[in-house]
Amino acid sequence: MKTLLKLELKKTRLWPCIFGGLAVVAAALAIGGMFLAIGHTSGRSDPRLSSLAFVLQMAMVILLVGFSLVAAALCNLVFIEPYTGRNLALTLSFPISRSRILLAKLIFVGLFTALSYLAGTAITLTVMLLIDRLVGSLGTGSPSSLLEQVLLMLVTSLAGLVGLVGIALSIGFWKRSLPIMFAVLLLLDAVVGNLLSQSPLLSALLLLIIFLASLPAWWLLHRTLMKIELP
Amino acid sequence: MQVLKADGIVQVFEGREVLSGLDLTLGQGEILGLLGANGAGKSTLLKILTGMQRPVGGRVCFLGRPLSEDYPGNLARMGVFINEPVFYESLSARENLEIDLTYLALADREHRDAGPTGISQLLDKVGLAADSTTPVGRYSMGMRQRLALARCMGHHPDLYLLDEPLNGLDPVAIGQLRDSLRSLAAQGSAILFSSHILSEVLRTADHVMVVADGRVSLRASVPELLNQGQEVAERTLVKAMEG
Ligand SMILES: Nc1ncnc2c1ncn2[C@@H]1O[C@H](COP(=O)(O)OP(=O)(O)OP(=O)(O)O)[C@@H](O)[C@H]1O
Ligand SMILES: [Mg+2]
Repeated sequence: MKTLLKLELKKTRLWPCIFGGLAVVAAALAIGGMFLAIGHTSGRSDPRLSSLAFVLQMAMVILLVGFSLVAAALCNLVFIEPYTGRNLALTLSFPISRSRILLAKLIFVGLFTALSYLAGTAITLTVMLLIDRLVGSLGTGSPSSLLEQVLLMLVTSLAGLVGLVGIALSIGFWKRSLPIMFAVLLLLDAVVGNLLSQSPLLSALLLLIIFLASLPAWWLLHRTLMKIELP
Repeated sequence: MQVLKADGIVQVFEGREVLSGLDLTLGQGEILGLLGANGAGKSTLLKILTGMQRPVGGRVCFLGRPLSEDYPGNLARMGVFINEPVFYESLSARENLEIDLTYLALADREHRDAGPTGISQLLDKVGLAADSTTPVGRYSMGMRQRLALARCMGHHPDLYLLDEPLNGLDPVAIGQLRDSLRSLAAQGSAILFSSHILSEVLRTADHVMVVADGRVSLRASVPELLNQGQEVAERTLVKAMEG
């Protein structure tokens, strides 16, 4: 499996995805910074806007949406391109069982997405907490409840990433269309992004539901790729 | 020994029968030239023989066992040249071959030792040594064909399935390919290749098979065909292609 993973790494042009990840972090910082500023100026009129927990949640929503796009771009390179058009002949010509190749691809995409998402989140949250310290802290509850909330959001975001990308990818592959995949993803992201500014617990629930809803989509995609033939 | 045996292959696309009960046998050390008009079904047949496309009807046996029994593992014992070959365009010829050979090594212990020297030899053999680090995306058509040939020869397969390997090759490369195929066959490999260049097929193959109307309209030994002279032989082939 290690060799298969190395081969996926070799075959995939990963740089655009890495730059994409960096751009997402920059966007999350920019928007998080904006909410920090809003929190400071409109602090008295709206207590929710001026809580650090809310500001961090907003930054994490941006991270989730952004990394779902990065992950989808990677899925395009790893799943859609190799299994469509003329590339199919190349992908099918390897004498390795398809399930092993698919598993390697899944692990590859999963590892890259999870690691880049975690690294991006760590950077964003650290920078925001530092800024918050520097400019005078926003109101927080206890630090431990803040940590709890961040962790909950982190875990459910990872599940949400799997879900969002799974649904968009299988619809995109079904239609053999990259624009459709991204359109579906943006739609889902827009809905999720809006709902996620609600209470943290509700957000977590929503992300878990998306994760569960994606399981049949992943299964269908797997079945299609296992059976695919040369046209 | 029988390397490849296909019985009653039927393939249908969008309600149209492209192959209608085609039979084929190919023995060790045999070079079979596959002929047929455009759209006769040569590429379709070759895809089916690799196992990467399933026919609607009929069965294919490879080395005495049903092809589907060990698919895709048996691809490790085939050298497959798909028409208009595809590569990882941003990678070099060497990197592309490395990827192929790594997959082969994973599939089959015998090929575990195909190291860098093996790749250099292969590239040398097809005349790409000087361009081995150029991204394949910048290759000319003939260079792509050469690389595709290198790719299917790296692992000493029992069977070669080559769809129009002569396409885009210069006369020197065509001559080299002819020599390569002859020496591979002499070492016991079975070779099936399609082409539209009748003279070259007659120079390279031991047998020819013409596909027309979804069936084999002619199968003949090349020396016998050439008994009546080159011109008559070519005319016979064209006539068979017309069905
Ligand atoms: N996936 C497909 N869907 C629909 N029709 C197909 C498909 N593949 C092949 N065909 C049709 O089957 C017929 C045979 O095609 P094939 O490519 O096998 O011909 P060929 O003998 O290789 O021709 P050429 O000499 O031009 O390469 C053609 O009419 C082609 O349009
Ligand atoms: Mg063809």
